[in-house]
Amino acid sequence: MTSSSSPSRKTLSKIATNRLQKELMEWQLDPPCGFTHRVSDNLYRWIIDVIGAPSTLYAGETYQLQVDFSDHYPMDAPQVIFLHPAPLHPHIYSNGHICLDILYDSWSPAMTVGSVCISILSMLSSSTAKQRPADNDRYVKNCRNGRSPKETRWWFHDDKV
Amino acid sequence: MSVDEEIISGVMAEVEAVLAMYGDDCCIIRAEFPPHLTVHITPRTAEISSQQFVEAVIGIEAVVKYPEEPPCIYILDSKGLDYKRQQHLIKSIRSKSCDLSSCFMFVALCEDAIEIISEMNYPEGECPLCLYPLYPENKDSIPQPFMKLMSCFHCFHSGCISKWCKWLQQQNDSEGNENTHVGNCPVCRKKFSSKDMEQVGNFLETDSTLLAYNESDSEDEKEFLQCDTENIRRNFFDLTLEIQRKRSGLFEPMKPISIFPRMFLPESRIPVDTISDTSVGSYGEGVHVLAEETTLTTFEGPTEVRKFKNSNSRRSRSYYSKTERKPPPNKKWIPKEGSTSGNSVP
Repeated sequence: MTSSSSPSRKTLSKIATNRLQKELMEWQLDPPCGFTHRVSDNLYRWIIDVIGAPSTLYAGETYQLQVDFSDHYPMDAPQVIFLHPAPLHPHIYSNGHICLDILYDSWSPAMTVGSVCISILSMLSSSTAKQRPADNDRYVKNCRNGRSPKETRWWFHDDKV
Repeated sequence: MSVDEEIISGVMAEVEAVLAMYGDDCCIIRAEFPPHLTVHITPRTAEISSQQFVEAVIGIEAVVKYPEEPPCIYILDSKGLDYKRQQHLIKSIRSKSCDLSSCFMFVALCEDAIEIISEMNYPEGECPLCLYPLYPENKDSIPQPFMKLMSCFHCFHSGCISKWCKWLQQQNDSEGNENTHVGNCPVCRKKFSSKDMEQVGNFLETDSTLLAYNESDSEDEKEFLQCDTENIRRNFFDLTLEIQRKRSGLFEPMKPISIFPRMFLPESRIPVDTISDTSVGSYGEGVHVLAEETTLTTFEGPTEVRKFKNSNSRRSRSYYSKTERKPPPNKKWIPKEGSTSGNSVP
């Protein structure tokens, strides 16, 4: 049977598709410094390689971000997590969840994958200690059933890192 | 000397004319000869402030030899104009001033500037929400309506910003927020002013038909592409194609179907039955059987033929039991044709 008979394939709204195609096109023309988008045919899940900025704690290290877009993108924030192994950072949990307000409450549809990536790199770069958040174990245990970080009620208290 | 005086009084009269025309928009920097003034230029088409996307303050400084030599023209300040458009504005006014040399040209230059800026009264760049140009670069394409937030002057397609407002409202509703906070600018987070909400409301009202149409259009499309009959149609097509490929030629049974529509009726019932309880695969069988029924003796290996016959005889029996017309099971296909034709007589 051919592809036409597989209804499971994810279909997304025209708005989300147009916007993502545009973003991908612009990314390919002018990728943000320090990031590489892994080529794939899935427009709704981007895997992005992040290279730690020079002269920071993460210099030369490479991590992977996974960005998932919903049907309501860009109104709805994308889900952004680090794939294993997540960088050691006071705001990044060992399961890859990132405590960063723009990914949740402060999301704005004027932000793009590129601007989110830059925010995350800047968060990494300003870190002064390679350590997990204090409540890492408790949080990760609570997320064991595969909960999305978007369902977490985040507290954003630290504006230094 | 008298010629000079004549020129000077002419120039001064000109300055007064500019003052009279532009009032508060005009600012005299040097009143005595050679005069120097600035004029705040806004698009002629922008009587409604929400429809103003650009403005500029241009300076005109006459030289000693004015009007023999054109005055010095510069842009003091501008909004909504990038370098390219600023250059376009200034170059156009300068070339106009050269054309008019030895005439009193202050008023003409200001009017020219207004003309040019009126033509440029559209926001620049892309809508921050959909990332497509606010104003089509290609003049043939139809421009989408756009609007400016009054509080911060950020521009969006009206449709895009309205969707954002609607989304925020939905989120608030679903979270049961009593908060009447209506939203903020996606770019700078400044709170929407009441005027902005009014604009969005107006847009949604006037264009709700358009919006609703677009939405339902895509919804309909999705629904149509996923609906059962469409899926069945596609499966049928795929199977037909497969059989055609296998036989490297046209699928012969298509002919009897079109000639005898009654033969089609039991055939179409089989897949509905089977699809409900099993899978697409059994529908596949149904189609194969149809192929066999009409071209019984010509092709396929005998083992395969038998298999299909068996699997289908059960099904056909159940169908006939429903319609209370039981052909002997041994006779299989040929009597069935007889029975359908018999059916057509009354």
